[in-house]
Amino acid sequence: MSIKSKCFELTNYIETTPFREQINYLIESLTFRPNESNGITEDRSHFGSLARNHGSQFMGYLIIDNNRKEIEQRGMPHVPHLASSELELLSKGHALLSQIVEKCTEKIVSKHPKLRTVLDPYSQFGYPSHLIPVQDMIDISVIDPLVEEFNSCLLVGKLLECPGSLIDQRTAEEYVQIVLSLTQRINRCGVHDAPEDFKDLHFKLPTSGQHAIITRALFYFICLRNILCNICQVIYQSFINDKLPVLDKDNVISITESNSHIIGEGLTIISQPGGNEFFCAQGDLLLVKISINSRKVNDFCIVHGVTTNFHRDFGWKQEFRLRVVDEDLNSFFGLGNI
Amino acid sequence: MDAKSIFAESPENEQWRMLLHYSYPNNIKRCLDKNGFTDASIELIEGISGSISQAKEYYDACKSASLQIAPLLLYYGTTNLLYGIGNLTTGQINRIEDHGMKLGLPMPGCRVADLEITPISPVTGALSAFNRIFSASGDLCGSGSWTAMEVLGSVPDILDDYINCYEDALPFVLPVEIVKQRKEFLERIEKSHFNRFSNVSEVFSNIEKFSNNYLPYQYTDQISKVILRPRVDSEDIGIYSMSGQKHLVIGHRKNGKLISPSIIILMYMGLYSLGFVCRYKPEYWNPFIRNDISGEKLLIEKYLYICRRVIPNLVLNRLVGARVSFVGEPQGILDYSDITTREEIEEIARKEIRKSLERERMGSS
Repeated sequence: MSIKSKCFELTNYIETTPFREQINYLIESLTFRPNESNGITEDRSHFGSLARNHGSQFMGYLIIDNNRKEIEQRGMPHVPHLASSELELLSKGHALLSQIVEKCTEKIVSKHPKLRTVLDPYSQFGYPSHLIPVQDMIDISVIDPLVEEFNSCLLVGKLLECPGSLIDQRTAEEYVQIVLSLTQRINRCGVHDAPEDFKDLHFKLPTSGQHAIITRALFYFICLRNILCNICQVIYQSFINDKLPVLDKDNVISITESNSHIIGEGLTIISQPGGNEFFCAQGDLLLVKISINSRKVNDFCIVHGVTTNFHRDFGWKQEFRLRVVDEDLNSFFGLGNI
Repeated sequence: MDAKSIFAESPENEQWRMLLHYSYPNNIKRCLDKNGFTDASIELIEGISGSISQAKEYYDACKSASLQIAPLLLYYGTTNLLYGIGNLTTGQINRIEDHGMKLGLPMPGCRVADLEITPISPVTGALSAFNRIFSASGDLCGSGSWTAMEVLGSVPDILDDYINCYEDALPFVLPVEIVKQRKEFLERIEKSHFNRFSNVSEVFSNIEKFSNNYLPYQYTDQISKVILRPRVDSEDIGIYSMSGQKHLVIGHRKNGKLISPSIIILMYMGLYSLGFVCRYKPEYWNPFIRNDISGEKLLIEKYLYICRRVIPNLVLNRLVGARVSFVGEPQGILDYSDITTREEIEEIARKEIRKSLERERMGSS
């Protein structure tokens, strides 16, 4: 078993709940423009687009709603208002994801309390967390298998082995800053490269010693935060999509680059838009299933970047820059093995 | 099929020189052995040799003949060529007893385009036998009648002449423009090529294997041409004109079935109809040659020229296993001097960064 499979089991359950239907309808009304067939009456697609690009699942919608004035002051078009019932739905969705994060990190936090914010993928946004009960939406015990699987993953085991005295050398805020800064550096290099000083860590980083333990612990923080973020993303997508977006023989034009490096694996794929992959934004999970020149790719990937291109002489195409995720939904899996 | 360029000052002569290689018994034996037909009879070898030699004679005679008999000579020559090469590639004597087609009697004054060809004799008819060897379209008998117009509209090299000649005619090939870009390539078709069709999607649904080999086509008002993107690992389903331009073949709807005979077979059917009328219906053919005021004669002359040039080339492609094109440029030189490699670009960038850092350092000291 793996975190990925447990996560998809959970999504199967979510898809049967009435709560999912309500959220799905709401997100669709914030994604598509009104037309004769979809029953949408008001064009709020701009809101949806801003929220999707925020890359923080339901919280993105709440933040956009919260920051409406600042966004409009920046010269952006009018941000449509959400009804209080709609905000409540989104808040409940976010509460569910927060609950999953909290449950998953419970064991680690009981040993290293300051890691609560370090591992929480939402801690960087500074959005106030509200305690909203989620029991009326789902039977909360359904997340237990996922939590159990998360706790049995190798990285959690490695982190729990780290001496508390070493972890306590810095404050939680310092760790959050370091993790965000390192993640930003990794992301700046794109999906096919790694920061220069990471490249020879396999050889340079000693196997023991205080510095090595702390450095590795930082990488575990980055990986586990990434896994939790991806778990939230998979569950969020199960609310909004009936099917995971797929890049396969029916839309892929070419794989222009594919490689492995110290961070993980990167893919750049050019596709012809045609299905729900057209709406993919940074942070979304999709499936790549294609065989090219007898090479088979069958991987789940996180969208690092996507560029949609139209030219009147060449038509439509999209370029996806993707990070492959492993069985634990880790897109930085190389870092966990250093 | 890969492309192969061969230097030739006269493509027509060169392609025949290459084909005549297989008029020599030793070469025929070697070719048959290579293809696993090790017990070839003398009868088979001599039959192949004689057929190819006679084909060459007919083709040569056709060059200097007028339109009065040129179609007939070309039809005979092509029959010999397809028979010889067909036996060579299948390693057996393919029994042929008749043309495998019959022609509807032309009405006085009717257009050549209106001649009707009906495939018959599915076992020993020449058309069916050659179709089994040179085409993958399945049995043509039972497909009903074909007009010469359908045949003429299927030949890429005369497409413009065909469109100009027949105002009401639908083409059966679409010229494709291949656009190569750094990271991918695409294919495009001028929108004007769809002017004679009422429904673009129907055109694509009539192209055999189109959806297996291309992503859905892009055709909107905002896009200047119809954009086609081949699927990954797709096969090339196009045919190529002498100029090397790719064309997609629109199949023929016959008795509710989509049939796409190979271009060799369609050309052969066209030659049969023209050869038959010039031989057996001079009362129709002679006035056409003398009195044509429509310009159809020009089209027929070009069709015959294209058949003479293209059919041996297509047969040769099959023997060589590549799309042979005859070129006039010198061979054996690969000139990459204008291409800048990634490494060279990176080296230039490194030098520039180094210079700029040095300038910064000097400015600050």
